[in-house]
Amino acid sequence: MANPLTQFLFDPVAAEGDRVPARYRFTGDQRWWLVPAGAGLALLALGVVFGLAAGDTPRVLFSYLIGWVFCVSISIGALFFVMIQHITKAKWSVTIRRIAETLAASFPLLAIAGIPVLLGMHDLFHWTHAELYDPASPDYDSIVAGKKAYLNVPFFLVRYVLYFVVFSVIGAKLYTLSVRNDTAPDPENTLKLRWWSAVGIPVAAVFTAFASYDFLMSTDPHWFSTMFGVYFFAGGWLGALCLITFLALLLKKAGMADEITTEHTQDMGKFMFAFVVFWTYVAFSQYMLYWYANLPEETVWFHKRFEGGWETVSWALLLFHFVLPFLILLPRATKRIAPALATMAVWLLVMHWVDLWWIAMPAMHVSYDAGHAAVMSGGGELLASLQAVTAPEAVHESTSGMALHVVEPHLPLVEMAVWLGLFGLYVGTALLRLGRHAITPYGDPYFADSLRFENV
Amino acid sequence: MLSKIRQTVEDRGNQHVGLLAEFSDPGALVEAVEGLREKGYTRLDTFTPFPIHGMDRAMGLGVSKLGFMVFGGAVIGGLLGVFLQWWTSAGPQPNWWPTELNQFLGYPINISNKPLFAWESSVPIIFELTILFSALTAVGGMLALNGLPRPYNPLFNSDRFGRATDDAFFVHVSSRDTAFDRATTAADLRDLGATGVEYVDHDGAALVDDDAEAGTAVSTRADAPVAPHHTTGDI
Repeated sequence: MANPLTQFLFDPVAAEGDRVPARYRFTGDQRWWLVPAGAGLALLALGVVFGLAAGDTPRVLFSYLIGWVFCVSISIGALFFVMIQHITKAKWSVTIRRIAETLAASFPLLAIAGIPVLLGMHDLFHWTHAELYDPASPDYDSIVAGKKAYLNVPFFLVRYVLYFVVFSVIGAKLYTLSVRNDTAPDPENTLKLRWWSAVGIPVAAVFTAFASYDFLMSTDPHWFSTMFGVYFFAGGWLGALCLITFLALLLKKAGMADEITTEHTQDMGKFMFAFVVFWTYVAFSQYMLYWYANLPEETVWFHKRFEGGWETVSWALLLFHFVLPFLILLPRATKRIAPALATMAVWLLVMHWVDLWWIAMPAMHVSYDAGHAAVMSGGGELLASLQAVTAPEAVHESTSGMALHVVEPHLPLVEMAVWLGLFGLYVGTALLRLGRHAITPYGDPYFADSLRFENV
Repeated sequence: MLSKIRQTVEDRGNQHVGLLAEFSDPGALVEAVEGLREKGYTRLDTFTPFPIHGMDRAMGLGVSKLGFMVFGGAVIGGLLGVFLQWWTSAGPQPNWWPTELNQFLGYPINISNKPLFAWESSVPIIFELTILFSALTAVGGMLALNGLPRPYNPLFNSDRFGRATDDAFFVHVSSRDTAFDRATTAADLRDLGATGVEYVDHDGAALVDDDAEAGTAVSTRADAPVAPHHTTGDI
């Protein structure tokens, strides 16, 4: 940690240590970050080794992409959480805000963690194949070729850098200005935070949408959805709320952060409830528009997810990502009883991963040849209605040039190991960063108001 | 049974017969309510220009039944939405039904060969009706639980009571309260810092003056005109 560069990547502010009053200090020992980070590293190694030993490189790469996007989406959610608190001058949330700020300061490390995704682009993103753009090639794909101005490797890399520079700068600003307020309170910092949030929200909104197009939507380069950015944001925001709540409850259980009361966690529970509904609203809106228009090039994405075993996952998402959490989070009691709320937070984090897995995994295609052959023989014959479709594979192959269901949903052990591995490392570094400063922004001008906050 | 209902209705009509005490500020009111409850009064009501933080707890109000009513309304609205969508777009088509009465059946139209009834296209209507019924139940349930609208209330006999919507804070102890005694309750209220105590019933309102503290029964009634007594306090 001596190196200033690694120091900056990890935590833009020097540790405060004893300058923080004892009651606001993180009192946990090293196990707090060593256990998740260590377990994460072990699981990540296990998943990668087993996946590669099975000779399934694309699967390992897709697992990595899903796990990494999971962490990125949570940091994006936390970033928006902090910005919205500042821009609305929210007082209730001040005590719990430091956890969100800590998560939002993870972007430099996430940018580094994303390097394997860049290295594995060829297996992850079908559009990276040069022959798709060559009219002379038998693999020529006019649809993907038409998107060449956007879907090309150099521009992708530029965008990747841009996303993470912008997210890192906003995250670091929100973090440093708030941490600086602890030991040297200055109302000016609050105004600056508000300014950064006002500028940051529209910028981050656009970048989040495009990041979702690049990292998830372009795994299926024929398909497009203008709603996808919002869908991704809804999931990420929900994930962030769950992780913030879970960490807050964990800290309280360990006797820290007395300032975070049941009133604050109940409000986080309300937020979780609301965004379970919001996620469903967006997910369903996306689905219903495609169902209604019934255009093959649009419905193909859902076709893949209603065939070959994925339909079980689709229905499970509806049930466990909406119906049950909705009913369980509805009563006041769930949101005020710590173990119940923590359980729901973990549950929804798992479901957020299942959601991302369901988005990305069916797009994995190990064998393109079958699909391309179908395009050649099928001649792009489009069927007008899903009702009349007897063999959805035929439609899919003729419209997308990819074989349907190369990958069926199997028990995602490698996927989960890689995901939990990355998530463990993510949480471990976040907790390490959290422990270097006060766990609650006690210097914030609204801190006293937040302490007084009560749900009527 | 009938007499019990009559009693309940009568009881409700009389629940605001009793002592109305004014307090100078919200904090004093919360403390007064806590003090009254400690003294064993249970049938209390408070009137303030705005919601007062912590008053629910001070009055010992439980969790409102409204949430459960709204949930019921939501379920009914959702089911009604499903029924409406099914009936209007697919509907029953029994073959024994006389054709001249077809107008009472559903109106199935084939739209781009989609199923006549599909949950996908029905969700917006189901959702809207769920929200509509939740909202209506919330408003209606709130009014019902509060016993509103109530065009007449004995409290309206008090001249100063109108200020409850402006700048005054009142607590009311019902004469139906088992611990109620006009003189001692008035004394209790004054002990708790009331700036003015009135006895209110269907005939009118009358100030209970300080003699009550001495234990003398106060017999001032509204038939003797009482000058409106406005205590400004330190509001």
